[in-house]
Amino acid sequence: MTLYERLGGEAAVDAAVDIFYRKVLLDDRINSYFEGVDMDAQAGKQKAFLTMVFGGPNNYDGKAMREGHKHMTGLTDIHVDAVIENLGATLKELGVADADIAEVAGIANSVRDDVLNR
Amino acid sequence: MAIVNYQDCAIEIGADQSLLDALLDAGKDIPHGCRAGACQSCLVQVTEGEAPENAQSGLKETQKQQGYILACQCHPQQDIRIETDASTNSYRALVNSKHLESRDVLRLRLDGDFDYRPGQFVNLIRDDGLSRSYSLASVPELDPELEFHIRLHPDGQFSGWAGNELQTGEELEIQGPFGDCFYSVSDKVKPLLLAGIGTGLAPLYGIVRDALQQGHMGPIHLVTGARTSANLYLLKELKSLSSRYPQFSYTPVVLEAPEAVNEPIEGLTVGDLNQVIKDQFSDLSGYAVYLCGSEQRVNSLRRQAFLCGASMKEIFYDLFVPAVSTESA
Ligand SMILES: Cc1cc2nc3c(=O)[nH]c(=O)nc-3n(C[C@H](O)[C@H](O)[C@H](O)COP(=O)(O)OP(=O)(O)OC[C@H]3O[C@@H](n4cnc5c(N)ncnc54)[C@H](O)[C@@H]3O)c2cc1C
Ligand code: HEM
Ligand code: FES
Repeated sequence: MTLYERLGGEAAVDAAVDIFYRKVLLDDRINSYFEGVDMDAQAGKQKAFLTMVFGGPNNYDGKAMREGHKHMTGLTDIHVDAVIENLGATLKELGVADADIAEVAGIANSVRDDVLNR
Repeated sequence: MAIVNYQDCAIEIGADQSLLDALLDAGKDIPHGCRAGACQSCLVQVTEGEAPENAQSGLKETQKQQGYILACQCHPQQDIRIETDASTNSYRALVNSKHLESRDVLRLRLDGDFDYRPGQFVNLIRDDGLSRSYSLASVPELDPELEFHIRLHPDGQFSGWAGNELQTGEELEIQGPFGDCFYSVSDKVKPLLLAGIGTGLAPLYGIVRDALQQGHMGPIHLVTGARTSANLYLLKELKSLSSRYPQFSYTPVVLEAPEAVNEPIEGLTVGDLNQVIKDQFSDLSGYAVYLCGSEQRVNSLRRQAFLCGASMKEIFYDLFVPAVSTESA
């Protein structure tokens, strides 16, 4: 079984979107990057993000991640850490096993340099 | 440059032009209102070529699959053929009564008989084609007439005309209904929170009465925001609803405290609507939430409701996006 299947596939992504997005909006380290974007559109992007880091079907590669985050000025490791932390807390709340959480964090971490455009 | 084929014409679409503007410039009579993707009056069907997804926001899944788009939101990159729609219903309706509910809210009742759910909206169209969206405050099972609450803007083209010139006995064209902000809760004990700004009360009044007549038993909280207590309306009706239905409660929230209190208003709260919701509804998980009113206020209420724990899928809303007049566009 793949990681994505173990986590519960699209249903798990749907369950995680609200929780994760709420955490992001409440996290002063990163919420300014997410403000001003329409909530419906943003929810779609969160879904894309979660599908990707859950190891599910997606069309993103490093280049797309670079392009997608290039315009966000001032992004640093602190911001990526915060995103990964919120991701972990979300999965914990959903009762996901620690080993799977670590695997998800690993996927997110693998595009760190692309997201930070370095 | 992309071409739109419509009827027997091939019309060029300018680089910065929307499909709607190109059609209007070519002299085509396409219904339109807000030009902002909110009122759905410019709905057209793409019959050849690709229907751009970003011009389908807010449409029903079935409409999307059939290639419907909002012409005002569509900037085609490739040639398309479109048809204007036979699936949008339109009716003529007689003005039965006009009544001023507060100093700036007109309650308009029309004679009309078509299928709708309270909280949906229609476009009211004047004889010269001026079209504006208004929400349905009536409940078909309870009210023989269609009811609208129109906030009178001093320089409002439609609202000013409706307030000053429109006479009972005259006819208006109605197009619709549209929108998915209505009572569709299958769980009859689910708690509901409805919050509206100004005439955002119109759809909510319909939704509350619809929920009650469908036997909703869970708590129903209605909260409305206004600048001063003089801007509140329907106080009597809402009071009588709350004494008739114990599960229903109403809280009017005003920004400015009233000076002289002649008749105290029950439940009147002074403050900012967002803050009141944050304080009084700090846990909205499990709620269905309905929000209506001006775009900016509703968007900040959506955020607030979401942060209080409401699930994104359970937040229903209508944005009263002002129509951009052709002159200033
Ligand atoms: C889905 C939907 C549902 C709606 N339901 C209702 C309803 O139930 N009741 C209701 O009263 N309205 C409702 N509206 C708003 C309505 O459609 C019109 O935009 C509004 O009545 C103003 O039209 P007008 O022709 O009188 O003013 P216009 O001639 O279009 O505008 C006159 C001036 O007033 C300004 N203006 C217009 N609207 C506002 C506003 N809200 N706040 C501040 N300035 C404004 C404009 O910018 C302009 O300068 C709804 C809109 C939408 C999209
Ligand atoms: C940890 C690694 C990260 C991954 C794997 C990731 C992945 C993604 C993906 C897949 C999208 C959707 C792109 C699209 O389809 O448009 C996206 C969008 C977005 N990301 Fe990230 N992201 C990461 C880190 C961050 C960080 C650290 C921030 C800022 C604090 C951030 C802010 C955003 C924003 C604001 C959007 C929406 C962009 C827009 O609306 O255009 N991301 N991200
Ligand atoms: S949605 Fe296009 S004109 Fe209103």
